[in-house]
Amino acid sequence: MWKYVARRALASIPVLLLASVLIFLLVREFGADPARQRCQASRDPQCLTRVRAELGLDRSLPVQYLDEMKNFVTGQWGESQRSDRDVSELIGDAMRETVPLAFWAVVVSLGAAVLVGVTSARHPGSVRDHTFTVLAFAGIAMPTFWLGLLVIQLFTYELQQLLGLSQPIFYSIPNPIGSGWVDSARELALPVFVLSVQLIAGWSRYQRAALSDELHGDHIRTARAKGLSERRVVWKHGMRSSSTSLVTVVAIDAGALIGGVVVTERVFSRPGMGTLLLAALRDGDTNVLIPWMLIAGIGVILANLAADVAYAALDPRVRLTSGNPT
Amino acid sequence: MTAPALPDEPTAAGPAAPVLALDGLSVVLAARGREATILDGVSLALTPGETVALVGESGAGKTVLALAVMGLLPDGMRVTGGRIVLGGTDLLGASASALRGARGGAMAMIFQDPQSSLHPAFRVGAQVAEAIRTHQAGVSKADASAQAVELLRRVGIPQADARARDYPHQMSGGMRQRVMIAMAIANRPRLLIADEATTALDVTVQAQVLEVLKTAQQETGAAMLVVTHDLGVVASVADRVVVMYAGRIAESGPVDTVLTEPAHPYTRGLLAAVPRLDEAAPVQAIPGQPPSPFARPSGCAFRTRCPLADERCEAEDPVLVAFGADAGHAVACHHAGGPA
Repeated sequence: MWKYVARRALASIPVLLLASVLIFLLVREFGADPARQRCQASRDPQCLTRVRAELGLDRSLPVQYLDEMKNFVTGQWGESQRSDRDVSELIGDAMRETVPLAFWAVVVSLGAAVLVGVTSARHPGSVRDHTFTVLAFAGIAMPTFWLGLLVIQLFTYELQQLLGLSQPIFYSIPNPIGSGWVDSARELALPVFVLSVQLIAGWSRYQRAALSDELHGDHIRTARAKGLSERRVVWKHGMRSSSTSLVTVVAIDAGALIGGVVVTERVFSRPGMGTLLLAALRDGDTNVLIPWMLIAGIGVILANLAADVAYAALDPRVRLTSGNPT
Repeated sequence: MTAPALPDEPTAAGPAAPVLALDGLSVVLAARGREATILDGVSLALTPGETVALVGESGAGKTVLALAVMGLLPDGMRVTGGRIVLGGTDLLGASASALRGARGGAMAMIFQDPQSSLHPAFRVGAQVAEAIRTHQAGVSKADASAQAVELLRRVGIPQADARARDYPHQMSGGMRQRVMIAMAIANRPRLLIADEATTALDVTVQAQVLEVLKTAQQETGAAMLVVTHDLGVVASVADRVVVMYAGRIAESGPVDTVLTEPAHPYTRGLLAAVPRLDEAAPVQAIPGQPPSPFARPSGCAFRTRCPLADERCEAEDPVLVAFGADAGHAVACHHAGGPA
């Protein structure tokens, strides 16, 4: 098992290196030229050459790449070209916004998607199944920005009017112990909901498909022939062998969430990773862009690694290392 | 989980009160708005310790019969008539929990493909132990594991205590089928159903697994229903044979009688289709295909392929009646025992 995990971890190193090269080239070659930006207002004809030398942009690309990576690894991410703030501080602040949002969206969506998917798979063709199918397609088709605006309208205005409250409804819920959790919940509830709608819709379809295939399998018939309760048949035997496909799609989506959720953050005015990316792109802030993309890339790779570990934990056939296969 | 409310010993008088009695069992498949009769009024009884082989071509309804007894008919199929009585309890009228109690308890089934029939992600010992703990209340996890190892040893798995920690993919087909047998006999069932249990195995392994199956049956005193299309299996394990064709019983009787003096043209055809080492005669296949259950011919379902068929076969359904001198021999044919 651990040998397998170590092997998967080693295999992700070349992926990370390749990604870093691509990110570097992309930003350097196709992004804004920081020297040109700096010299926009200058009348000095030597400005470009001088600034390039100052920023080290006159060196060869491999040297610049290695320098960039050394700075990233040692944590010297420099300053934003726009705001003169430390890039590490900017990204840290953005992560503190994005990580709880992504985390709770994944937790809520995973729980709901499993329940919905299992219910549908157990009763295919039932009213519940058809209802969930329609809701799932609606959820997938609904644009996030639109749903976001709707729930904001509903929760911050309509319900307040309807109930005659003096504050938006979430702030009318008493918080007598003054717990920070309640404050976070108030802030996170709506964005997590909006983000989850789409995730639940997609993930529950995967869960339904995988489990309903599984429930027709021979080993499920064996489980029933043993006299197991239907609950045990579904939740122990069925889930165990059908969960790998959900793990795959969750890992892909969760990895992408680290990179922020541009639309949701925008709609709810949350200064997270997505918002930071938009600003950095708009300003041509390469000092922010490169570490941002590396962090997002590492997030995706870690999520995939987690999926690999989950596969091995769920399915012994994946752990090919030991044993005596026939 | 409590044990099913089945009496331990049949209360009816007589030494041969059946373990399992099917009475006019009919099963229908509904597909795309049409209905087809898969089993048509099948009656059958198994006494304790007896082995009955169910033979016939694919599609004759052998496996459906076995699954109907277990209450595991696939989607779209349902029992439309008859009774299934296991040790005095009517399974068709039983509650879902009583049926669950009987499955894996009083009756157990071994499936064709041990590769796919075991759960790929659980250790084989745990899968056997799960069967024990499901039906025997109050057995601790450790005790169930120990019992599972003992069962694996009894079905001839070497180093059973180590192999119990294997996953199915680490075992050979023969070993996996032994695990299935261990799981099936874990709760000392009174009825053991083996559905093509050796078909997916190598020929040399088949004989070993058959031996294990027979030993397991003898140790538990169970009645055994062996579903097979292999007449070699029939000859080596069965006491009685039931030949099925198109959802009905064509011929049934003691294994020696049916195999040596078959009276139904279909049984003769099956026997003629078996390659033999001691005879120079070429193997003769039965011409044609079994009828689709959606397009069953009038009269005798076998008449379209039968060398003896005449107008009467077309007009009149043959019924299963006693035939010849041997007790228990019955044939459903207007020309039973006719010229071969």
